[in-house]
Amino acid sequence: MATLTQIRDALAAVVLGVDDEISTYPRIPQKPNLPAAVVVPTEGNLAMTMKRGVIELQFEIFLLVSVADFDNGQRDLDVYLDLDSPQSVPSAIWNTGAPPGTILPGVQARVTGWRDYGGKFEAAGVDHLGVRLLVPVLVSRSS
Amino acid sequence: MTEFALLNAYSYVAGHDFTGDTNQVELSGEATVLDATTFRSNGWNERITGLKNLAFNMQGFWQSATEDAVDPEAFGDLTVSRAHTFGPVESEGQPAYMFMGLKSRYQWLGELNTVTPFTLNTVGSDGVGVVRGLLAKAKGAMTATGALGSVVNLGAVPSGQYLYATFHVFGAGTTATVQVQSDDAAGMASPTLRGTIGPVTARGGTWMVRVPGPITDTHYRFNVSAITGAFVAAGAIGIGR
Repeated sequence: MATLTQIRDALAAVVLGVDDEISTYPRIPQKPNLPAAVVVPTEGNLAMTMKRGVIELQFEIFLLVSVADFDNGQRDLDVYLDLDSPQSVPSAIWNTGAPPGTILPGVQARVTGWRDYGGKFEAAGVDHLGVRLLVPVLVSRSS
Repeated sequence: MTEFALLNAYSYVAGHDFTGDTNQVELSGEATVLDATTFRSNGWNERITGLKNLAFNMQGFWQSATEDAVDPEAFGDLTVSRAHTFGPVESEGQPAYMFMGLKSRYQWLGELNTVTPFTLNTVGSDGVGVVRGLLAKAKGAMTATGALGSVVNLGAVPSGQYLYATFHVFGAGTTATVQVQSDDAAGMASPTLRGTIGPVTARGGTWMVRVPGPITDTHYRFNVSAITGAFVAAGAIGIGR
């Protein structure tokens, strides 16, 4: 069975594959280099089957870009979100493994949506634009 | 036992453990109620019972594999009678409901963006119905000869009733033979052989040939009399009609 650390690493690795200019962080960094993708677990449902045979973990992937150039920053975010772009993060996760989103044996991730686009995000004192991808991850503990 | 959250209700069906696949399990028993009211019933309905029926339903998350997964176990086994052991708490000494059942309805897949579901309905398939016993061996390793699991205190087997046992092998080594023994005390100082399961050489379930009462002994256990290789197994022992 995959550990939480392995799942975060696997999600970060998929995002890294879409754009070699993006810095990916499986754990919250003290000071991210932008553009960045940060994998953050937000919730866990551990009571989905008897004996915790299947659990579902909720992740968010923070996509962050620099505020130095608002226009170009938004263009970058749009490319990461666009399902048909080569740098699409949702599609990169979808296209991993079979069934879609199988990032590890017995671990299926899917991007169900995104929220909080734009604004002025702040992490570790670094101003940035960003968006949060909503990524439920289904984990089969019997695998 | 006080009230408790249902978190590890176990469902052993032949050689597959559905426990981690399921999030809803229920066993129901009922008898047909026949009206026997006459003009001498003093204004009250009189009733007797006819045939009895048991139904076992599981719901959970569908998955597939070459073997030992929901789909090959359910699809391939539809209408086939198999040994079942089911209970609310997967701990030795806790209640276990044992029956021979056949899968009569299998429904799988569902809505977009939900965890892929399945429903499996089973009905009783022999004249024993359901036996209420105790889990004597929770799912776990079986690698050596000797006592297996826990001694369970079921009481004596009355005349006209029988000793029953189910045994499930989820992972098979080369071969194993398992006995059901009884004694008059928990120490099992001088056990008596009551039944034999196996030799078992593959994943699957066994409904032991029932042993007629009377048996005055009160305590029972599994004992591995011969084994080659490592097994994963579970079993229950009970008394019924």
